[in-house]
Amino acid sequence: MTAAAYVEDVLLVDRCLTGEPAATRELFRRHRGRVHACLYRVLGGNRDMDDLLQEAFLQVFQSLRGWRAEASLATWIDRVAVRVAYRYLSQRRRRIAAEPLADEDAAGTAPAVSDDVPGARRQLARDGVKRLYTVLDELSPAARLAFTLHEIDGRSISDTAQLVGSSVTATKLRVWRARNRVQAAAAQDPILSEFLAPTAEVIPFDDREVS
Amino acid sequence: MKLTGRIPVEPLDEERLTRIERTIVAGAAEAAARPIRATRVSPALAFAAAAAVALGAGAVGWKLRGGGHAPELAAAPVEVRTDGQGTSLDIGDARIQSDPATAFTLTRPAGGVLVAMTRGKVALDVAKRAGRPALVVKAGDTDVVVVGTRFSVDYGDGTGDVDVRVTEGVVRVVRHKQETRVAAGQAWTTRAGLVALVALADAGPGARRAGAGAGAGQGGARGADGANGANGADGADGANGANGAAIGDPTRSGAGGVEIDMSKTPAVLRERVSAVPDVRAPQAGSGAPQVTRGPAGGNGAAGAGGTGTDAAGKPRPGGDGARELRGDLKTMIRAQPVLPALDVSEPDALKAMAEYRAIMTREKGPREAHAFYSMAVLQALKLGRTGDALTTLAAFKRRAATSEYYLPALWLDLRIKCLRGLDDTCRQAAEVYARHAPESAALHVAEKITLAK
Repeated sequence: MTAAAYVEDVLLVDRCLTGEPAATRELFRRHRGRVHACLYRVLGGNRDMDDLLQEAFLQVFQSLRGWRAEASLATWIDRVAVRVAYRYLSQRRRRIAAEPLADEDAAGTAPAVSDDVPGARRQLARDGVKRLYTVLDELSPAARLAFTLHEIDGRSISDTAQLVGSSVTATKLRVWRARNRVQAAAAQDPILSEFLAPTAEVIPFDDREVS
Repeated sequence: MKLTGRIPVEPLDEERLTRIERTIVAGAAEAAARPIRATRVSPALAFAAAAAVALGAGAVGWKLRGGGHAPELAAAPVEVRTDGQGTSLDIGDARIQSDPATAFTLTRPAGGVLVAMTRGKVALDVAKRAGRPALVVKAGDTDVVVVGTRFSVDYGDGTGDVDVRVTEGVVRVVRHKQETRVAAGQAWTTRAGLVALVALADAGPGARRAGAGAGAGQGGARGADGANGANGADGADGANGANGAAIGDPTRSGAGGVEIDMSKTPAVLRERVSAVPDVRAPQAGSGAPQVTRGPAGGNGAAGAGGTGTDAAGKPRPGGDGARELRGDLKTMIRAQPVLPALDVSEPDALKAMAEYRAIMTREKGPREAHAFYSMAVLQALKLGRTGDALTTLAAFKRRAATSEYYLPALWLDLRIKCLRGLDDTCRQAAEVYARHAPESAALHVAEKITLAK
């Protein structure tokens, strides 16, 4: 980050701390895209995203005085967002454990897809993503965060470790275990296996959600 | 496995984003309006967390040494009471030394440490907390927030007054939503609801109890002992010496009030006295505490300005004197040089600003700091955008506190604020400057401002 960008951040934060609504809006607009993408990749969809984004940014503004300008503002905000995601995943895990729901899609059987049908590949990709996140649902929140931030969001191991507040070694281990778990699931699931293949195409989403 | 970029993010529609933004802007405004809290832990949460943490306290090696009785570490929260002898409690990240006849409760809410004092005196040696929640010592309505330092808190008999002395590092003292930074060599103390921040160095042993009995008793003040030096309370007649700022109580004239007399301390101590916001305007004969200033000589504010109240709390005339003082001070402020901006051979201020930005982008170290400082100089002195300059200076102070341009930045901050008006913001800037620049040639100006009414 350049010094000028840093100064801009500091000035913006100072304005936010005075309660200036325009500054609050500016900070939110500047960072919302990245935070949303990060949360989306961790969670696998936009379900509850409004609440999560809201929660993350409210926490950012509530603890903005605590930003010591040591880390970049973006990194600091990401750390807050990751903490919010962690809490959400932990609570969801407990909720699911308390009230198990039958999930038809998680049965592991491939839906009947014909290559002749237009949009079939798109459907396959979507199913692949869905199955990937079904496997990730079985991981601990910490392992899921480490895996998604590193493997899907494309952050380095050290950045991931910093975001989740763990050591680099622990983060590597979590990513490695999660990767093994996903690969084991892919060995049993041709759709997931197809999705994970390095040659698979990137299919953009239409207006339907993953989850 | 390489999944980066393989899972595109489905955007949120504008309507949802607008709704979220609206909620956040409202929430942020609330957060900004909220006063700074010393600790965000609710009592209930603190108790619950303390209960959980105390169970593991033994495992993390808490140990009690000294003559006092050992608290039950397995129970939560930990209560420490000493009778005839003091104790030393090592909690891993801090050591708490308590005097005889001291009582406090120790909890570790949410990773922090909360020492809630009932009475007595504790001295703490706190390791750097490096990102962990702060350690807070609570003495009545006063919170002492620390992130790594050595200091003591004296809560006397637990009925009101608090004395905080810092020997290393810095603590934040929060009382009635008012926050004061107390650095090494300073003491923060209350007497009968009034607050003083004073230097400890060379503080003589001449501290005395106010009114030696009647005053202290009626004012509810805990008299300072000999070791309290500069904070010593003394009789009040408003005729304090060269630095005769005094915190006084109008009841002194009739019923034996409480005052902190700083006239006995050497001038070099540069006492700084601030009135707390809960101090009501003086009512003659009402008995309410007030701030009085020495009427004569030296840096005494009332002496210089001719305003204020006398020992009986009656307002003294002096409007013209006050105006003169304001004029004099502003002239003195203007007479002090401002460190010039970095020379970039660019007469146009806006172009020079762009050049400073470029320097900050490509360079590090003193030149970067100088460029940053120069932006504020140009904004204030060339462009007349003092508001922007103050914002830049606020950012500079956060970013470059260790640079050689820090003191010039503090002076510029003082200059802008005090030329706008001799108000609390100005006084605060002057206090900060005086604290950070004890050797500066402009110190006497800053001191005059801090003591001005």
